[in-house]
Amino acid sequence: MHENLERYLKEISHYLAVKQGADEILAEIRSHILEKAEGESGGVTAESLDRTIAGYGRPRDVAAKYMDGDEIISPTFRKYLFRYTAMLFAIHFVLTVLAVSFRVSIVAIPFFFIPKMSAFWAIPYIFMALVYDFGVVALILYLVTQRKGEVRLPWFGIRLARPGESGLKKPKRAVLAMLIAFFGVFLYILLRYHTLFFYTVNGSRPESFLNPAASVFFSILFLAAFACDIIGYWIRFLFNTAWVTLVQNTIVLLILWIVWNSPIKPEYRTVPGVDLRLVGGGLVLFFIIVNVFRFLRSLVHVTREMSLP
Amino acid sequence: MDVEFGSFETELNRGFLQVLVLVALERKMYGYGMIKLFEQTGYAVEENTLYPLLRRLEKNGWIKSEWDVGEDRPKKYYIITNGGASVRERALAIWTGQSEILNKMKEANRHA
Repeated sequence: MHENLERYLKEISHYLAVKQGADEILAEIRSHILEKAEGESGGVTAESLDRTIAGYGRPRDVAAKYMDGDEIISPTFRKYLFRYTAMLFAIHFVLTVLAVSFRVSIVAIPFFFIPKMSAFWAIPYIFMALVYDFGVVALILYLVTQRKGEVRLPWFGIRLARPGESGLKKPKRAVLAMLIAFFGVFLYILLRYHTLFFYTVNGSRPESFLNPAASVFFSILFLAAFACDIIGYWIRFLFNTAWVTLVQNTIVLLILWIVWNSPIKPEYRTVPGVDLRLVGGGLVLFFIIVNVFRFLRSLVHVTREMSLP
Repeated sequence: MDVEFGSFETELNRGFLQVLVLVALERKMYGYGMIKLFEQTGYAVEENTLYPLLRRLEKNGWIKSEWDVGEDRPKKYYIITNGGASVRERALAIWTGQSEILNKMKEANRHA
């Protein structure tokens, strides 16, 4: 019994995922190493075995050579793995937004179980959902790969990107200048009138829809989301990657999330007869839908970037 | 450059080694004996490459094996099958054809 040799073979066996004949493979390697150690060193000793084992190669590499062409997931499914995960996660994300917004549980066994939860718990949940979605897609692609036969998986493409491109457009200076100009105007209005949500009657001084505290609160959140967009756009002049847009859109969605979850109390109202919950809620919902679409688009761009060589 | 050539050499050797093994196994041999024989002819083969290759050839039915447990140490002996002999002849014909093509190409370049 040669402990170092048996230890080496045992380690190979951990990596050796062949359907049959693993014991025979190990027996053949054992026989080879013993004979070589004896033939080249004049006897089988712990030292001669160590030298021979070192020459034979790392256990993982040795095992890998027996599994050549036996992939867990075919490399040809790499783009599918990221595309499908992004799509599943997008559905998961939208359903989570709905579950939190309407305070309900959503179940679609075995793909989704979104419990009733607060916005706070939705943040860790959504990260867990991403890992789960990746696992589900990997499992499906694993089963398809192991089936060996010809399987044509559907390909959901929004628009074909040119070879070597993710589809993310180059930022333009004129657009950045326009965004900054708008930001300046909004900031000026906020500083001057302490609100961005106002009305005027026959050119009179603007009056806010909301009371002063609520006006400043929601106006600042609106400006923060807008600033985030501008900063993201500016960073893309330095690093034009879809990851920037993904982070930018995630932050904007988080801000909209805060707005959506801030209760609009009746005392905020300054204009009689206006249903603030309906008008404000509708406006925020519109921004959320637009930004969920932008978020999904940035996910598509990220997956394209990841699948580029 | 060396790394790239190493990969290129591996690709070239992959097919060659299969043919070489099919030729060598005209008579019964075991893995370590084959490696020593190849070394004597000037061809070095990595041991952890040869055994997986022998397994693949056996899976294809081109060679067969049996364990000899009569000696001090059990050894797995291999020999070519009839199917393997047929594959070997076809492979050698391809090899010869490719060699002739290369020679013709070199000749053409010399006169160009």
